[in-house]
Parts: sequence; structure tokens; C-alpha cells
Amino acid sequence: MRSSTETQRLRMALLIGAGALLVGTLSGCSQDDGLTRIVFAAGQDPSGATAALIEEYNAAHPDVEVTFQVMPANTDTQHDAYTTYLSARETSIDVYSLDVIWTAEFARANWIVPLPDGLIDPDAFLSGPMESVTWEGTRYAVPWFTDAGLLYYRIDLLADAGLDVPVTWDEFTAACAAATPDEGMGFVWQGARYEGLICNFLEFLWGRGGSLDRDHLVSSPDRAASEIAGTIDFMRSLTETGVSPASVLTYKEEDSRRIYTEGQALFLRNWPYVWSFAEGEESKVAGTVGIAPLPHAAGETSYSTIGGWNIALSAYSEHPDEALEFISFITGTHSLKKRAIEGGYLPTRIATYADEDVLTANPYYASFFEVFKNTKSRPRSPHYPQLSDVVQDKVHRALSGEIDSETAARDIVSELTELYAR
Amino acid sequence: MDRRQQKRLIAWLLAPSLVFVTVMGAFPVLSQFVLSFTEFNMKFADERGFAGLSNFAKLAGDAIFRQDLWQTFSFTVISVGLELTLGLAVALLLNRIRRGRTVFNTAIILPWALPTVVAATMWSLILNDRVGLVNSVLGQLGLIEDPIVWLGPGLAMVSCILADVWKTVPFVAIILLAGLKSVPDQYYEAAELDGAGRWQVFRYVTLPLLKPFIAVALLFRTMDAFRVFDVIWVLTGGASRTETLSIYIYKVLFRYSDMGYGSAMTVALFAIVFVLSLVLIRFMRISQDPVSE
Repeated sequence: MRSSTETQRLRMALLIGAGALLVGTLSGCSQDDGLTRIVFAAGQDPSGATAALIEEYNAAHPDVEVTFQVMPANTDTQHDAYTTYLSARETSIDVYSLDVIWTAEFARANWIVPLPDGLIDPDAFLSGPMESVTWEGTRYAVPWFTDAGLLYYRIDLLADAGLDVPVTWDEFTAACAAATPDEGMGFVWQGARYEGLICNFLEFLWGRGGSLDRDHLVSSPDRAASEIAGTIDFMRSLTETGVSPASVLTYKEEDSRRIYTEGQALFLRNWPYVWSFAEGEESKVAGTVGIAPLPHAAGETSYSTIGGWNIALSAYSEHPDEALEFISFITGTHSLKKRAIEGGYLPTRIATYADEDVLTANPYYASFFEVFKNTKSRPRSPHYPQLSDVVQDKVHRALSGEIDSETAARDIVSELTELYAR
Repeated sequence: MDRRQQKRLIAWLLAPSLVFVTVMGAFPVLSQFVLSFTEFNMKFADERGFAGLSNFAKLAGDAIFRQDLWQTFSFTVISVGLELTLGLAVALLLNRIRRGRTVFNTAIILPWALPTVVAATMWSLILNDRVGLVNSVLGQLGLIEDPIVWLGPGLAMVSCILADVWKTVPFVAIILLAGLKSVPDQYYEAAELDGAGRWQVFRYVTLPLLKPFIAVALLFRTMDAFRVFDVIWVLTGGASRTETLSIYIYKVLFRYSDMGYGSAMTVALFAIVFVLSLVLIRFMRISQDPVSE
């Protein structure tokens, strides 16, 4: 038998527990204090600049309270969380930060709404990011920060070999043969089967005059297929001739970055974030890091795949006017400057690249700007995740030797054409 | 309290858990079944409609599904086969240990106690071609000149199976060890008296008596291995011929938000695992009464 005091104590514990649950539920409900609450969902900002900007905004707007809902760092996890929220018509989040590749998908699903004309001046922004916020002629988001593929090279190794920075792929492979460090690698990039592979692949493809755009695939499928096959053959030749290691097919950004900052590679294709690592304390290549546009085939042009994030208004926001005002602020010159200086987030407004404060904090932005002028978006489609998986899978199989490049190219053209038509 | 009252009380006490099981178990399975006959993409919710068998027709012609099914099957057969063999060996060894049994038992269970994602991340570091332990040991011993790309094309599936075997051998070993402990000493003594050798004792006494335990381990491991996701997701993300059905289903359901087609695949996976389990349970029945064999 349980003693009576024990029973009493158990009863009390249960009561307290139930009470705590109740209080927790009640405090979750909205308080009627006249404040308009806006929730802004975005990935973590380790520098704290975003949180500081929101504080600043709240102080200037006593009737509005913006909350920063920090999302998981992984892009795919964020995507899956957002699609779950929005398909359930979640109203608690007003403003979303979206990867540049999601615009078509979210717009087509009516999860985000077209932005009113006059909210931003499109000419004030870089053209690549501006392209990424547009779907079927309508603007659905404001560019927030940007990213683009760059070629990192070793100034010292090229100088020792008496070579200029290569512009074409022929010059590039010749430079690898002449200046690759002993026991090192010529060129490292991202060849694992994940989103990074399609970014790398597109840069190789664009640099040879090819494209995965809908119109191109529909109007000249055979030409598109032969361009794709040629690109895959070229990428395969990189590993077969030893310019790139065989293990490049398992590399993501950090795998390739480490090899470069450890001084074991002549060239690296990566995003701008590598700069601060390469010039940082733990880097073995500090002081010898050069940046250039990616090489291209002779007679063609170099293009970089654009990355980065945009800001959009949820279709289910209960306070769209206040949310729009906040969007203007967080994508305004002041916010972009602060995030560039404190967090190293590359601004999307052209004028920021000529700003003295920004250039003092980040002098290398001037050379980034040269690359950012020639950027392209990954294919835009509401079925982008599927489209990307098709390209990643076929290209990776062909690079691994599971299928030949012609088969891969034909499959990519036919499957993408089908996805575009959906 | 008479009988009827007692029965009523039992019914009342059971009701909450029955409701719970229905809501959390039966309902999702049924709704998945219903969804598999609809065309429903969460992104385009207003285009929802009845699809008849079209999702299943698509499934029959889906080359990725076929390839992933084959890969899942190979993964299951090879990894479960290795796990049973090694698990049995470990169990036999543990059963013979007289001193320090607790230490050995704890040590052997450790991999099983680790969360799979943690274990897989550890293996991805160990198998890393440049900084991994395996390549550096092989290099030091002078066995290899160029680093082996364990997680790349060719060896990716081998590495995934290795990591899975390392993780789940303890599970099999512990079940089989429990089986070994349940064999009365008299059987061994009797066999010895009859002049049976070591191998004969193992073949004609230990193994038959262990059969029900082997069957349980086999059933659990097969069902688990057929649904494998985490080990492979961490090690290769499904690249280089390692994608399993669960990974494909995850992509269709959550990356493509295609609830209709994804549900059809889930129903297919459910059916396959169900049939596999029935076959294994049959095998278990046969061996229920080993002494009468």
C-alpha cells in the first residue's frame, strides 16, 4: 500500500505539472497590447548583425515588434520546413528568407505574393539576383545577399612558373601541368552528388556556350544534348588526366576548401566565403590567394552560378503592410552595409560595392564585383528540386563511369523537357 | 467487484491506449493507403484529385525505383548475412568468457548504443580518403600508394555495409547470447557423453536450439535493413549506387512534396517488407520446436 503522504505528494506533483502546461499554453496566445507582431524566418547569422538590425528596427517602430526566428543552417532542411509550414497555411511567419532557387516553386504554389511596384528600384540591384526573384515576369522577392562561383588560384605558384592567370580551359590545363605543387593537386571543385554539383556543372556548361534553359532544350534538343555530353566529357577528362583527384566526386565545399587552404591545390572553384578562410590565421596560403572569373572555352564567355538569398512576403501573413515595411528595411542600403561589414554577407545593391566603409572592411569586394557582373541563375522551375536531382544524378553517374556521357545528356534533355512542361 | 464489473474496468483501462494506437498507428497507415490513389502535391494543393491506379502504373515503369529496390535488396542480404555470422561468432565467444564478462558485454554493446547518425558521421571521418584513419594506416603499412576513395564510385556500397555491420553486430550478438544462455548444460553434457566433437555439438545441439533466436534477430534486422536511411544518407547521400528505397521515398515526399506518388511507393515498400516478414515468420514457426526435429 502506498502511504497517504506519498499519494498526496504525487497528486501535488501532477497538479503542478498540469498547471505548468496550462500556463505554457496560455502564454503562447497573442497578448492584446496593441503591438503588431512580425516574425522573420531566416538562417542563423553568427555575426549578430541581423539581430542588431531587428533591434534597431523595433526601437524605431514602437507599434511593431519583429521577431527573428532562426532556422537550421542546412538549406534543404530549411526548404522542407518551409514547405511543410506553408502547405499547412501557417500564419505565424510573415517574412521568409528564401534561397534563390526557390522563387518559382514558392510563387507557383501561391505561398508568396507578388511585391507591389515601387517597393524597390530594380536597377539598383545586381542583375543576377534580380533575375532570381522574378517568375513569369512578376517580382516575388527582394534580393538580400548574393554568392557566385569563383576561381581561387595561387599567385606564388603561377608566378614561379612564369604564367598569367588562365582565361581559357586550354590555358588552365596547361597551367595545371606546369605549376601544380609536388604531391598536390591541380584543381579541386565540388563533384559530390548534391546541389553543389549542378552549380559546378552549369559553370562548365555555360563556359562552353551551352544551357539548360527551357527554350534552348525545346528548340534545339540535339544541340543541347551534345553540349551537355561535351561538358561531361571535359569534366571527366579532369579526373582522368589527373588535373583533379578521383575523390573530387565526393567533395563538397569544405572538402575542397581545406585542400586549397592547406596549400595542396593550385586552383579551387568555390564561393566567396573561402576568402576569409584562405587569408585567415590557420591558412597556409595567406598572402598568395588570387581570385578570378572561372575559365571558359576559347571564344565563349565565363559565367558563374548565382547563389544567395532573397526576402519574400508570406501569402498567409496577417500583417502584410507592416511586413512589407520591414522587408524594405532589411533589404535597404543601411542593412546590407551593416551585414556586409560585420557578417561578410555580399550585398545585392550595386552601390554598396563602391561604398567606402564597405571597401575599407572588405577591400577584396572590388574583385568579387568583377565576377558578379557575369552571373546566371540555375534553371527556374516550380519543380526545381526534381530538376536538380535529375541533373545531379545523371552527371554524377556519367562522371563515375556508370553510364556514358551521351546517355546522360539524352536523359537530362528528355527529363528536363518533361519537367518544364508540367 | 464481480466479473462483469471487472471486465468493464479492464475495457476502460485499455481504451486510452487503444485510441492512441488507432490514432498514431492505424490512421496514418490507412491515410497513406488512401493517398496512394490520389494525385496530390502539397505545392499545388488545389489540383488534388482521384488518380486511380496511375501512381502504381508510374511505379511499375520507374527505373529509379527498380534500381533502388535492387540496391536495397543487396544491402539487406549482404549486411544481414554478415551481421548474423559475425553476431553468432561474437555471441559464442562471449558465452565462453568466464572472467570480466561485464566489461566485454558493455564494450560489445557500445556501437549499438550510439545514435546511428553519430556512428555514421564517425565512419565518414574514418573512411575519408585524405584525413581518414583507414587510409593513413594502410599508407603507413605501405599497402597503398594512392589513397583509396572509400565513399566514392565503386566502394561506396561496401563502406555503407561495413558501417551498418559494425553498428548492428552487437544487437544480433546480444540476442544470440541470450539464446545461448537459455540452453541447459545437460544437453551439452549428454552430447559429450555420446562422444560428439566440438563441431558436432555446435551443429546438432547449439544451432538447432538457437534457431528461434536466430530467426528473431533475422526478422528484426531484415525489416530494419530494408528501411535503411540514416547510415547511407550520412555517408554518401545515396550517390554511387547506394540510394535505397527510403531515401528515394524521402525525396519524393519531402523534396518534391508529391504526396500521392510518395504514398504509393510507401505502400509498395510496406507490402514488400510485409511479405518478407511473413516468409521469415514462417521460417521461425518451423523452428519453434527444435527438439522434435
